[in-house]
Amino acid sequence: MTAAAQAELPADDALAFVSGAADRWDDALLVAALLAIDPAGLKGVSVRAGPGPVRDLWLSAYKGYQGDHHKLSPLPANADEGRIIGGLDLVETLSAGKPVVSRGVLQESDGGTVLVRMAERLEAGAVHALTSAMDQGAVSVERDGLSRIDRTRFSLLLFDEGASDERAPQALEERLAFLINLDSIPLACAEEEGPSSEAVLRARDRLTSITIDDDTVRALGAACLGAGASSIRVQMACSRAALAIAALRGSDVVENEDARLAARLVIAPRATSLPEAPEDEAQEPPPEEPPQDQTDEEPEPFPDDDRELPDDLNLDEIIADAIKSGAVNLDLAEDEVRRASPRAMSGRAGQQAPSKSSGRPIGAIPGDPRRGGRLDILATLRTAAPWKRLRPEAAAGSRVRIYPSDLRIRKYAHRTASSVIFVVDASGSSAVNRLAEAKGAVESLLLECYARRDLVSLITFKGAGASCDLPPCRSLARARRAMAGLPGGGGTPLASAISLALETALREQDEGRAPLLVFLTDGQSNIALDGSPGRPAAQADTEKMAPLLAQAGLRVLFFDTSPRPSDKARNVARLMNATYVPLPYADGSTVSAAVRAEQAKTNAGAGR
Amino acid sequence: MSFPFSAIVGQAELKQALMLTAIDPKIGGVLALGDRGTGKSTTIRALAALLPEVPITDDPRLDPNPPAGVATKPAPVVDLPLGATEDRIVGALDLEAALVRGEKTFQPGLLAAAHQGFLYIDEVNLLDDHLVDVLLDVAASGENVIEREGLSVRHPAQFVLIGSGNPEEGDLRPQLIDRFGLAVDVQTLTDIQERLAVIKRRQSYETDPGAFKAEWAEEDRALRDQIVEARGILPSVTMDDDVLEKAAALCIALGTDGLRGELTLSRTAHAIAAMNHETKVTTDHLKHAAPMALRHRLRKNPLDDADAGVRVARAVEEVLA
Repeated sequence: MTAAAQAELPADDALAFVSGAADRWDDALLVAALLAIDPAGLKGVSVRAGPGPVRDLWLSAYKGYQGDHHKLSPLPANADEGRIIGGLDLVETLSAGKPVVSRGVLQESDGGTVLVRMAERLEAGAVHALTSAMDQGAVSVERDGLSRIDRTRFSLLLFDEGASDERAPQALEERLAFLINLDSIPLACAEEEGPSSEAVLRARDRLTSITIDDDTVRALGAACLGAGASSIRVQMACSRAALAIAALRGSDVVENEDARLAARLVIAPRATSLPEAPEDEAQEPPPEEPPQDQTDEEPEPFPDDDRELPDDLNLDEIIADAIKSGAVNLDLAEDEVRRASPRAMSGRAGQQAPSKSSGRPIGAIPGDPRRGGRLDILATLRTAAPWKRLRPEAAAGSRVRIYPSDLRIRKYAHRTASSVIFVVDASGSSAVNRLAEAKGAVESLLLECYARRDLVSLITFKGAGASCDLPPCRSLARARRAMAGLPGGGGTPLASAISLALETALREQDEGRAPLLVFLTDGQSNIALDGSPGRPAAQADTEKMAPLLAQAGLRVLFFDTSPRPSDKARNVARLMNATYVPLPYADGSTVSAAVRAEQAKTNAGAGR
Repeated sequence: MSFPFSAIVGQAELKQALMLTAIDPKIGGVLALGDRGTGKSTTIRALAALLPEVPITDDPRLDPNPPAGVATKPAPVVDLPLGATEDRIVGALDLEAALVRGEKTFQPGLLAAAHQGFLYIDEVNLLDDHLVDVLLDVAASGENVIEREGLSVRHPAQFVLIGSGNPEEGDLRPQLIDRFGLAVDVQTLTDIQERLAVIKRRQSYETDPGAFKAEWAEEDRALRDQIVEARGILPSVTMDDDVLEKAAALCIALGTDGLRGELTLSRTAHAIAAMNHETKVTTDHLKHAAPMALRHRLRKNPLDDADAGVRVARAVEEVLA
């Protein structure tokens, strides 16, 4: 989406875009320097960038600032818990005949940096291991019969390579001071160098003596709230960043310019609402200094109990400017989505880890791994160990003798989770009479999905295209919010909706879930796949797309929301191989009964 | 070393709920739900410093290495990491003893460690359902029964279960929510002045944790004394029938399921009375207790995310007026 938007820029703006890139690169280098100055306070950075020379350059700059002896430990996004927080080293344990503990990446990187590539793929367990280690400065291990607490402090680098709807887990990003974006920075820009290593070293030594006054902290707080980044951690990180910036500049106190820069680096990338329009000078209550030519004179500090916000810093303006100039490269369309459903959406981290196709391990049972099933080594050892003395063959050595009857295999809970994907027509024709009813129907369906612990997602289409308003999740609160904020109007791009629905459903299948598509539309397509209006082209596209759902073997329910059952809708449903339900009087119970019936079939098919 | 409880800014309801369960563990656990970065975990972990000491038991599974000549120990606040395996939670065969000595001995788990104290699960909404079931079961019965790997062990495990989580990341099953005694909605501080205080205190804590703790030790001690006193008063707190009837009327008006709501409401009101040095439960105490004791038990449309606390407050106005 971003790429398309850039392609449309006229030539003049393209230049501006490149200069924006240069600024972003400078900011990125500054971030690398600041992280070396205050690693404990700033925690780390989430870097949005695909693999490539620009990211490599940035990483080597980061390493350069950290110094030669800095340890950088990669953590694969799919690492299992044992690798992350440590556990029992099975090979060593078996050969030593006593438990041997292996350290995890988090312990190994004490005093160094943990680097996660493809951070958007991190699983919920790994995210939690990282957050609790960061919060407590220690890893607590309660597994494999071990119980220990290891102190560790590390910086965290997340490389977020996700496609547009995937994000690094928000629980982690929220704890990191910085979010930067290196996407589409030309290599030419990336040759600029940042602050010198000597300056960084000096700043690190001076850091503890820098002070920040209360007014500035208050102003940063107001800026956080104004930008919709209300977590106190963000404000805390912003203060720390301002301190580090002042240290780097060689000052003893945080000046306004430091606070502004900190706000741009820390708050602006998280802004979910654009602060008040800064254009209108008259609107600003105190006619204080404009941001460009900052004089360094401090305003008279407010008395401590004065609740008036010091807005002379114009932090809101800084943030708004940063967003507009593209320095933060906040895609406003993305922002809309984010606002509807905060960024916890990040693929998997937000919800429970997807069950592996083999299911969730729920224990061990006696069995023979040669006849299918995975050997549970620990459980097997546990079974065999008490017999050690009684089994004469083993008495001489220190080895444990394992009999076939000791073998234990993992037992998995096989349950294919259902994922219900609602595809709701929010176009003008639908909006007039049916959208509210469709919303009602979807809400009552959500209730049932909730009770069954299904995942739900919401795709809507109107105007030029379809959008995923809610990626698959279990959170009812979010689903509801996405529904409530749904505006109606515009054309009916049914073909685009089918395409997006197909994509979503296939992805759900890949995750081992059973998707069920629920269309609520009148089938009156009038926008073609490419977004151009025109009924015939739109119809043709729809008829081209609809059979793809049938070919993919997806279960589809089609609710015809037109005032009376229409042939057009029936035809589309037939092409999708969908179960067609006319809905002259849309009411929740009809819809949910139909979905229930359809799911019964789905589950029978999946062999739940 | 954890952040001092009394130095935590705001979060009044959560702090009070925790103190009430410390006064009367029978209230049965606290569920703290709220946005990220609201200090839920910090507050809960800070509780440890406030708890009066507990007697050392003579059960080697609960107190494996009792120090000589001491009768009490600090009350445990045990952290249950999300990745904890079932064997570590309930206890299992001691692998080292089995491998090295060929002995079949029981290695106690986190439930044994939490006896007489608190068990805290961060992001309880992400914990595997079957583990949550185990925990709630033991919390309710006060006894941990292990029948696995040829072991047959049972030991007392009386603890208060504390859970926290962010509802954005996944809902807790409704039948689990209502097993928690109290539920608290933790919200982001939006007062600039309070936020300033949070940041300043955090900063000075991080600069010198020891000095910061010393600075707040006096206030922490006062809270601890308050808990001890309230515990002493609690057995003599009584509730008149008319107040009891009002509590029942409130639960009926809100349509809470079962008796658990009424029981918790009454226990919480008792603890509030004890905390205020009063020996009679009044409707004021009920009013105070109602939101945290009932907000998670409303027979509700789970789609209705209008704050349940508001609905409770409305019912309180009508019934207890």
